[in-house]
Amino acid sequence: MFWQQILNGLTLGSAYILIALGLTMVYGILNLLHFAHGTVYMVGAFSSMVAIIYLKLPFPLAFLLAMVLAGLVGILIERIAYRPLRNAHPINILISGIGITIILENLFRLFFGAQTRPFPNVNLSSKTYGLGNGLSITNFQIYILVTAVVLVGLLQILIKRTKVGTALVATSQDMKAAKLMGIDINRMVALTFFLGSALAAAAGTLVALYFNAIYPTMGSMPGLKAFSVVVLGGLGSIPGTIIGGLFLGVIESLGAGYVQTVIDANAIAFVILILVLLIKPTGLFGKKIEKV
Amino acid sequence: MKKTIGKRLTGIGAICLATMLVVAGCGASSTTTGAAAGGDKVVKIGFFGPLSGDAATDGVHAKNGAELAVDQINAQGGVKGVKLQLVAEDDQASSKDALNAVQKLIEQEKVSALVSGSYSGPTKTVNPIVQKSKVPMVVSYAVHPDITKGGDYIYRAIYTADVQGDAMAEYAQSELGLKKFAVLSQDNDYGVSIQQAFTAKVKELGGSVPVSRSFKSGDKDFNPLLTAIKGAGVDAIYVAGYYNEAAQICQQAKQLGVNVPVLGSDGFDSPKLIELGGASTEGVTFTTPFNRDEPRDVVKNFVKTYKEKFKEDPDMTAAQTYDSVELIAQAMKTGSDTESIAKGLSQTKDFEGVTGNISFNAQHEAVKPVIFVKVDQGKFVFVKSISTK
Repeated sequence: MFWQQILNGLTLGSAYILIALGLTMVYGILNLLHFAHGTVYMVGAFSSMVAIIYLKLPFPLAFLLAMVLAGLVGILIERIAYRPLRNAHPINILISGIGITIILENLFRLFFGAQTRPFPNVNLSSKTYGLGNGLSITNFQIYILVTAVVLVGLLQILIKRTKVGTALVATSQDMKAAKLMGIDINRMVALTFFLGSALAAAAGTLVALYFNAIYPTMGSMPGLKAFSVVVLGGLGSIPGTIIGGLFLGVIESLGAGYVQTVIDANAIAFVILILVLLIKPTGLFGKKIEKV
Repeated sequence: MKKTIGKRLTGIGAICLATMLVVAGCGASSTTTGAAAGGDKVVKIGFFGPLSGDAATDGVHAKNGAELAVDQINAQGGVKGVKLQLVAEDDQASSKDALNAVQKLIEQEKVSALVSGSYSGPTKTVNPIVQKSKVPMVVSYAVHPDITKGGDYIYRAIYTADVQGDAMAEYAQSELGLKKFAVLSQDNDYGVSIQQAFTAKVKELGGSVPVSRSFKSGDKDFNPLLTAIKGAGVDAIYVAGYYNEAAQICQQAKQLGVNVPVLGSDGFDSPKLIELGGASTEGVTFTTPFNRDEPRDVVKNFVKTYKEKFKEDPDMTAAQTYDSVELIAQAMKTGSDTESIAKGLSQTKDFEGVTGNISFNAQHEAVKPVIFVKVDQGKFVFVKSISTK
């Protein structure tokens, strides 16, 4: 059963990584805690649902459309809630993010109701594959794992191998210098929000499919956990976020499976958060590691 | 510089304004249905329940049941010429909001009776204020044992947690021949009280509960818990919880290959269980007070009129709340002031409700049958009914 818990944890961790990458990228470039990121995850799940039910799109297309839509929502959030406050006190920006979260969650509640909806029928039924020794994996788990690997890979290629990626890295290292080199800072910021939000939307859609559940507050807990992941991995560090996400997923699974009487699974993320802040505030891969 | 500050302030202002609008839009507003104050004498009945939030399905269905009862009673000329008016308040299944709602209903709306269409936590919280204000209250479907204690004004139209926990433990062991159970319970008054009753009864009858875990409302990932259960090799899983989490448990148990029967409490009784859980809910058996297939006229009439009015099938919370309003109406026959209603309720005996023949015992608890229902081809199907003491 130990390996099953590890496998469950890796699936969970992959979803955390997809959400947390957006947070870490935004922090890397703007030193900003993007509090509304969890709601973008929710927007992604709802966009997929709407695309499947009302636009009658097949699942893969709906999935891509949701990523694009959520990406645009991310850009919009930055434009409305963060850019006017860019030089303001960080607390103001944080509060602005919380405000956006409240507005979006309630808007969705107004339009779609507060009740949990099932994910629309997309002719994807769950299949379980036995791996021997009582170990099993479902096709949904495979989708989450594969999507996480592919998207993280694409992101790495974009950052490391393209001109735009170089511009992104430059902006995150020194915004003023990048500006002097002729990089359009605002465009880079918008791109960061777009990419991060699209990744969150991918996670939102896959998790909604996996659990067959969509509801307006679905982003709040994953959003908070993503914060823990980012802090654990080191703010602004992509490798740190990946390690942190997998670590949290596995620890949570093992915790819920073995020591639930001692600590609630949901609390583990926040205990880790506090410990990291107390012992090693820079996280696992703090500071000197590449930023973006 | 001035310009940027101005712009910035406009931005903040816009956000504040929007937030205020949204918050104001969600603020509690009471809705009234039933007789408008015309020439008739009107008695107000207060209702509170989760009309929004995570538990909204239950609260809205409960309110529907209450509305239907009020409409039907008024259509027949009311109770001895006195018409009913339902005043509904939203508590979002939160104790704090329930307290505000009940205070408002008692002090501002001056209701003559209350109906709780809410969960155990909120209903338990309003107990002292209801008992102190001496306004009679009928609790529709909250099962925590303490709810009716501390006075003579609170009655419960459903049996307590102990009754259904015991009933399922007996049924599972003696009729289904299951011995080893994993118990998963919702981490609130409802789940814990049922889990305790079930576990105690299982052990009393010689069975065992090697795994007992709790989960939070809103939890989605049950893989770690189910993996632990898979390793324990149990005969069945008993879930003391509501449909949202129950649907996840059924689904993930199947995906993980935990192929043992899932048994549940009356929190399962919602069409949402099948909607969210799909084929994985096949064969799930649970206890409930409501048998929708019963051939009695009261039930047939209820199911038919409910479907006509709300375009969906009624569930347990609707049936329970319908009965609660009917119980109050029945108690009003001797007078429509709070004292007469309370006295009338205390004398309720063999009242034919949608959820069986209801009598209140000395502890103000309903005595009526426990019904076992099974999911069969995507439908709730009656299995058996056992009477309780």
